[in-house]
Amino acid sequence: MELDQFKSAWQGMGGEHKNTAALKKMLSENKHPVLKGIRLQMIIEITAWTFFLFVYYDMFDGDRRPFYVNALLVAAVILLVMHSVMGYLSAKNIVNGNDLKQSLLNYLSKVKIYALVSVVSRVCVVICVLVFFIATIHFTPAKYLLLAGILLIIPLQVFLLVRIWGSRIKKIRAAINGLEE
Amino acid sequence: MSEKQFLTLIDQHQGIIHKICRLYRDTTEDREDLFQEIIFQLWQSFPAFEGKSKITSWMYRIALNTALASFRKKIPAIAYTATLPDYAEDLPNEQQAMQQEKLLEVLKKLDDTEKAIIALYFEEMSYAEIAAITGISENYVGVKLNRIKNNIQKLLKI
Repeated sequence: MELDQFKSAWQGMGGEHKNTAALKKMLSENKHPVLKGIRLQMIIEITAWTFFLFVYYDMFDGDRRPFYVNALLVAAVILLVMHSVMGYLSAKNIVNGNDLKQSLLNYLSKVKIYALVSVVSRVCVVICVLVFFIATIHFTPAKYLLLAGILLIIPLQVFLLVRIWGSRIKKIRAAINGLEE
Repeated sequence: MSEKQFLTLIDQHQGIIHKICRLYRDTTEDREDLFQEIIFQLWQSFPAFEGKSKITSWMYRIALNTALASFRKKIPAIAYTATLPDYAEDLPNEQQAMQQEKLLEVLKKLDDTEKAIIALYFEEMSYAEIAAITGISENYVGVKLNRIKNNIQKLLKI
């Protein structure tokens, strides 16, 4: 096949025609395939953490722990909630410029910041929850061992998050590189 | 412009979105998701569209931007469409279908930005229009297109 034939094949290409009623449904944020999933995750996370904030003080003896421990825990949860909202807004606003290259550059900056917040907030929450629960514990060798085991979760979580975000950033960067002169 | 006018415009030019979906996604489900996502992004960007460029150029820019920036679901899925196409004209004849498959087979071997540039070229856009959409200079559009055409020729010989 020659390029001219390719050109005419491209121009004749289409897909299953959608009527305006079907198109109208797609304008709604609630029908968005990616946002729907993120929103559900965000609602579950925010509800769970808000519930935790309401009950932790009584259920886990917040009053018997130092003030800074309580403050750290609340701050970490707020950071996590902010991270969820930020993620939702970032996925909603993909187009960020007047041309493809500029838009992708702006989007890459946003994704990099979001990836950093994502890793930091997850680590902060794990550390703050741990600090909260171990603040008044009298340690024995067995408990130290248990703590070491729990601490292993942090690098594992960081590794998984960095891998996910790394591949997303790589994909956007590859597209930008393809537009570099 | 109103929602109704927007929908009329999209209805008229939805072929552009279908082409981008077929170019950048392999499964029916992924294409449906991308189609929906592009419509949503077009609607979000519509208030900022000043009419300085052609509506088709604007649609291509937003559609390509969405295809390049959106993250795909990890799980591969086989999906069967529940509906038949609204219009019989949407179905290409056998020869057209074969040409389109061959075209997509070759285009899918290009990288994401090469796909974008050649798609705009196939759409008969001028170098100036391609430059305005992609954000690269007109000269570089020429350089890139030559490389892509050579690349396609090589791929056809394999």
